[in-house]
Amino acid sequence: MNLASLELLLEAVPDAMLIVDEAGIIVAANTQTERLFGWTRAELERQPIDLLVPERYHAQHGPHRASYFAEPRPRPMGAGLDLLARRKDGSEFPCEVSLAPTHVDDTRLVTVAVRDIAERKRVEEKYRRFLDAAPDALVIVGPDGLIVHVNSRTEQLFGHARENLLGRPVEVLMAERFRGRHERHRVGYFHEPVVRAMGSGLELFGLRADGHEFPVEISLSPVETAEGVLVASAIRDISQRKAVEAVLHRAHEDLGAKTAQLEAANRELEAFSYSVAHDLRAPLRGMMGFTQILLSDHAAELSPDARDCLDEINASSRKMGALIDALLTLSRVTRGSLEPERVDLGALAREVAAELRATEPERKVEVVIGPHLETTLDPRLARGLIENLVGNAWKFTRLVPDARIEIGSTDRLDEGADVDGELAFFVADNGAGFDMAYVDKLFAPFQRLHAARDYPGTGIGLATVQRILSRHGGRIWARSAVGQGATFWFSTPQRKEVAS
Amino acid sequence: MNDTRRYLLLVEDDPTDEKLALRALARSSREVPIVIARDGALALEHLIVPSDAGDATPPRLPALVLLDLKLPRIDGLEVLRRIRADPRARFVPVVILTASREDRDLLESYSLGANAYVRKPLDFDEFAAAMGAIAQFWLGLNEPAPRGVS
Repeated sequence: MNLASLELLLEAVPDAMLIVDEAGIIVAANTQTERLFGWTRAELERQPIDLLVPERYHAQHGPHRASYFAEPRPRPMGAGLDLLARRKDGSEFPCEVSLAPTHVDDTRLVTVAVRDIAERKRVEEKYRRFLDAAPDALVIVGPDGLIVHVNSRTEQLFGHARENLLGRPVEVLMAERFRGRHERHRVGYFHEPVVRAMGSGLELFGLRADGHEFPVEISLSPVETAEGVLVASAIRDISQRKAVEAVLHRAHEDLGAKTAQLEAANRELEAFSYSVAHDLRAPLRGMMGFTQILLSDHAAELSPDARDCLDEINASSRKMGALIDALLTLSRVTRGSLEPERVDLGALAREVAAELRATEPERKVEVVIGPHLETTLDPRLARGLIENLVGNAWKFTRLVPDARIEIGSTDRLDEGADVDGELAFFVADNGAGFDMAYVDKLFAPFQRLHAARDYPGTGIGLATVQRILSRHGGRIWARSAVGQGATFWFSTPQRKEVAS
Repeated sequence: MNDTRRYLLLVEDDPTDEKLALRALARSSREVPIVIARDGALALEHLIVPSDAGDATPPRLPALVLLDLKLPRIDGLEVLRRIRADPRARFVPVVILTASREDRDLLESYSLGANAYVRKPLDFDEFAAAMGAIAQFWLGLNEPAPRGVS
C-alpha cells in the first residue's frame, strides 16, 4: 500500500489516526486528529509524535516506542495504564490508543488510533463515586464468579486493596467452610438472578485479609450490562448489631430471671402474710371467746371494774379481728385469679348503698347513680372496689346533715378524667374530706387520715381498692379539701386481656 | 335409732379451739356426746376399720364429723377424701369447721364431698349459735343413711 491510499483510508475512520515512523516522526494524520488535538495537518507532519504526549512522559515514551518496533503487532497501548494526550493549547485528555504495524514502500511504520475517553472516564468516575458513597461493601461479580468491581468500603471492610480483588473469585471474601457451597449457589443464582437476600435465615461470615471472620448480611441484585449479567452484592458488617443483640438478649434473660425471682419472692411474701394473718386469728378467737364466756357465764362474780376491763379486752380483740380480716382481704385481692367480665358498677353501688342503709336506717343519705357505669373487671373484686369506695363515702358523711354520695363517670379532662376521651369513674361525697398534703398516704395500708374515734376503720380499704385496680391495669386518684368532701376517680382498661 | 347413741366426732388439734367448741356445744339445749380426735390420723383410726381387723365389731360411726382443715399428720382434706372412699364411712356427714376462707379450700372441700363449710367466727356468741344450729340440724333433724349400706 502506498501512503496516499493509506491516508485516504485514515479519513474514513472515526478515531483520530496518525502514521508514525520508526523514529517517532508523524508521517500523516487525518482530519479527526486535527479536530482532537487542535493542530493542523501541516503543523503535525514531520513533527515528533511526542508533540501529542504530555512532556512528563517523554522520557519513558521513547524506549516504549523502540521496544514496540522490536516486536510490532497490533495491540492497545499502555495496557492497564491511564493514558493522557496533549492538545495544541497544552490541555490534556484521557485517551485510549491502539497500535498496528504497517509498511509503505518497505518502510516500517505504525498506525496510531487515538480515542478521547474523557466522557467515558467521567461516567465511570461518577459511577465509582456513587458506589464508594454506599455504606455497604459492594462487590460486582461476573458469571464466572470473578470480581469485576469493588467499592472503597469493600477495601476497608475486608482489608484487601482493590487491585488484589479485581479478577479474583468472589469466594476469597468468605470463610473457607462456605466456599464450596457458595460456588454451587452462585452458579444457580446466575441461572435465575433476582433481587434477594443471600442465605436468608443463615449466619453468613465474611473473611478479612488478616483471617478474621465477621458476621455479614448480603443482598444480591442482578445488573444488566453490555457484557452480560453481573451480580452486585451489597455486604454489610453486622458485628455491631450482633453484639448489641447479644447484649440485649442477655439483658432480656437477666430481666426475665429477676422478674421470676421477684414474682416468687412476692408470692412467698403474700403467702407468708396470709398465713400470719390466718394463724393470728386462732389465739384471738381464744382471747375473745373466753372474755365473752367470763362476761356471760360469770357476770355475777365480776365487779363493775372487772367487767369494764373485760369489755376493753373484748373491744380491742374485735379491732384486731377486723384488722386481720382486712389484711386477709387485701391478701386475697392480690393472690386470687382474675376473671374479668362486663360489670355494672351502678348496680353494685345500688346494692352496697342498700346494705349500708340497712345497717344504719336512721341515716339520711342521698345516693345518686349516674349513667355509663359499665366496665370490665373481675366481678368479685369489682364488688370489693365499690364496697370500699361507697362505704368510705358513707362513713365520712356521718357528721354531715345533707349527706350526698354520687357515683358517675366522665370522659372530660376538666371533670377529672386524666386522659381525654378515656372514661374515668368517680365516687364523690360531701363529707369530711382530707388535706391534699397527705394524699400520698391515702392508698398505703394502715395509713389513716382521721381519728379512729370519729371515723373507725382499719386503714386497709383504700389500699385494697388500689390493689384491685392495679391488678386490672387501672389506677385511682383523689381530690379533696378538709370539710369539702372528697372525690375518688378511677380508670379501668377497656380491654379484655389484663394481667393475672 | 336412739338419740343418745348418736354422737359427734370433733377433729381439732388446737386445745383452745377444742375448749371453745365444747363450751359452745354445751350452750345448746341438746346434750351432745362428743368424741375428740386431735389429728387426722386419729380421726381416720376412729372412722375406718382396717381390712385386717377380722370379725371384731367395728365402733359405731358418728352422726357428724366436725372437721378442721389444718391438722397434724394427715390434713382435713385428706381425711375427707379417705372417708368418702371408705365403703362403710362414706355417707357420714362431714361439716368443715375452719378458719380458712380460701376459695381453694372451699372448692376442694365441696368437690371431695363435704356436707357443709363453716368458718369459725371470732365472736363467741356467734360461734356458740353456729355450733348449736349444727348440732340441732345434723344430730336432730337430719336422717342418716341406713346402717349396713355400701
